[in-house]
Amino acid sequence: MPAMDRQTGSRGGGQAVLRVGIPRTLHYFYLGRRWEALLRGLGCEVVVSPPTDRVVFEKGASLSLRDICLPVKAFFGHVDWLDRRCDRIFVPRLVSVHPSRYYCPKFLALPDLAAAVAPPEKVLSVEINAKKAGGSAERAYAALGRMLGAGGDAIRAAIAAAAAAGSGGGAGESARGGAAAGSGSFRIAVLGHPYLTMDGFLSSGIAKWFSDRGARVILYDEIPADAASRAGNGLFREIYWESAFEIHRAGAAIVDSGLADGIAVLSAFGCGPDSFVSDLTARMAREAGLPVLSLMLDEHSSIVGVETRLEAFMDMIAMRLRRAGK
Amino acid sequence: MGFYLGIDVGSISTCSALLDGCGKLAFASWERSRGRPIDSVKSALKQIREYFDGAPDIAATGTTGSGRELAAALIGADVVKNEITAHALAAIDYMPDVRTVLEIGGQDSKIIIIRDGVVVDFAMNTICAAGTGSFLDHQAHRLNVPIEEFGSHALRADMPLNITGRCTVFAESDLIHKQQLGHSKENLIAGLCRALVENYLGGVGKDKDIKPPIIFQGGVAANVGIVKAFRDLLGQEIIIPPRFECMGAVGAALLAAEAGPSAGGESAFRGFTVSEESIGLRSFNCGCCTNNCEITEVVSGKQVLGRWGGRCPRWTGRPEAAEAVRPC
Repeated sequence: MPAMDRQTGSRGGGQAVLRVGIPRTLHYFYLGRRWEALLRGLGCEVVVSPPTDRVVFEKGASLSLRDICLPVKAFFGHVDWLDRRCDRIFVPRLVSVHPSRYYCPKFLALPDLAAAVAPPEKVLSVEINAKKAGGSAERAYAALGRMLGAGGDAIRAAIAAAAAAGSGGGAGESARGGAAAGSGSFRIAVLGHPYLTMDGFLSSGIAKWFSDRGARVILYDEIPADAASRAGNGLFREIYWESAFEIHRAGAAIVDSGLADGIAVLSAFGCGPDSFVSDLTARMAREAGLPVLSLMLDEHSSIVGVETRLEAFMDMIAMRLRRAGK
Repeated sequence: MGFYLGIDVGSISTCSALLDGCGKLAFASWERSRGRPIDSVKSALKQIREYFDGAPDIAATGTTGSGRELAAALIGADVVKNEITAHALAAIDYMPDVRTVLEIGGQDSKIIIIRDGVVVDFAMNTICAAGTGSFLDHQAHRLNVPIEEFGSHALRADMPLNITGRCTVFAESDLIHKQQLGHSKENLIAGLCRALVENYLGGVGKDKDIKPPIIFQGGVAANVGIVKAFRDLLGQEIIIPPRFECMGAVGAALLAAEAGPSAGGESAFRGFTVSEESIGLRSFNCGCCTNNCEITEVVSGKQVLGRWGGRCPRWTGRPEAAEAVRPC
């Protein structure tokens, strides 16, 4: 059994501590650390579901529609896992964190989707919607605090703790798709939604595969958030899906900064935005002369099927670097 | 000085190539795997021994193709490489200034872009097997034309038909429809060849900078109808190496020559007697964690030659006695 991240908080009045679960999938990889700090600050015990594995995934797939995208299937599995262990499950409704961008419609429906798997009263949710007045994350977190019966000071402290916790989710190799941190003879950026690239199961262990063979794997969280963004340049309009925008921005940052010797772009089968943003990103890198590998992940991906491409991609980078005398 | 042996085990065919110490091709074989890769590898070894009237001295071995792990366990390989790299090296060896490699095999198709002798981009078909050898086989069978004559029928067409190449399922129904309208086999086949090449160029060839010299290799290069369609659509000369169907094996042999024997000057090659061994395959579920990976092992008598299929390294590199107690 993988280790659970848990820590006991205390609430006033000798009440039993509320045990709140966070699914280790989707938003967790961007905001998990913040949410853990926030909930602990509000006096809850936090349980994060373990990294996706076959059992969690298959359970999720059995609970979902056949045609829904890969990560949402995993989400169902995580909610089910938490339902059996927690009092409440924290699934905020993230609509937008930027005035001109939206999250994917499936993400907008996550609390409702969770309520289809767990009892609806168990789902703990607030809405974050930068498009609405008063829809900021901070306002939503304060509302959450009041919902949990915390006082004003405790809420302010919890929000400050959340801000200080930084972005990203989890720690160590399990938060890096199984890839080791540290150095390597060459650098491969694995681009795609963090909930794919950082989830070792959903990404078929691709990041780990590269790092096991001596490559330094660069993931989303290592791409400077303030890197000059030319995402959307040359497009007829800015990409309005938040996470697709981020992938394109990260791709542009890598191309411009020379942060990597090659880019592997992962996309999820059944993801609408991926179907063209992955392609745009790959094209941008190819035009800049950077080796690119595009891979689409689906339920049946075994590493065996993609290994041929991964290996050829590494050979291609190695040959180029050797030729360039590096 | 010994030979370098390369074996390419694909989904449809198994090829072997022997290079001499100077890198010259001394022998090559091609045969259908018929879904029995173990037997086809054994048969390839047997053919080599018969050709040389005895077992030639082998300096190093390499395997490639989708069955490369199996072949490596079977023969004892010094180097195991993916078929994209193998095909690229064989093409570069044949023509150092090659810039594009088109490769269509039994069940997959690839494109490799090369500049100054270095691979700069590649793609391989994923889900769709349109335009690959097995689809052509199937259509040839349906039209009652031997696959060997399929391409020459296309060359005799006076009015190649428009056939959709987006998807083989649609291509087939389109083909049947036009057949029922009474069109000649020649025009149907020419239309099909063109449709499949369009599918290839719009699929794996999408966004690829296709520049001459262009080499076409893999079993489908035998099909003159497909070659003509490539020439027409790309407007370029298409170069076909003499042993186009064995280029994967040639690449594996080149890799073996480059890498040399793996263990202290000694090749891992298990010898030509492999063709007489009774070799079996079995699989089991690991059960050590919730991933419950399916592990496959190749066994010769009581000896495990190799294992694969796990998400973690627990089962790799453990070729101990097959009957030994399994860990965990």
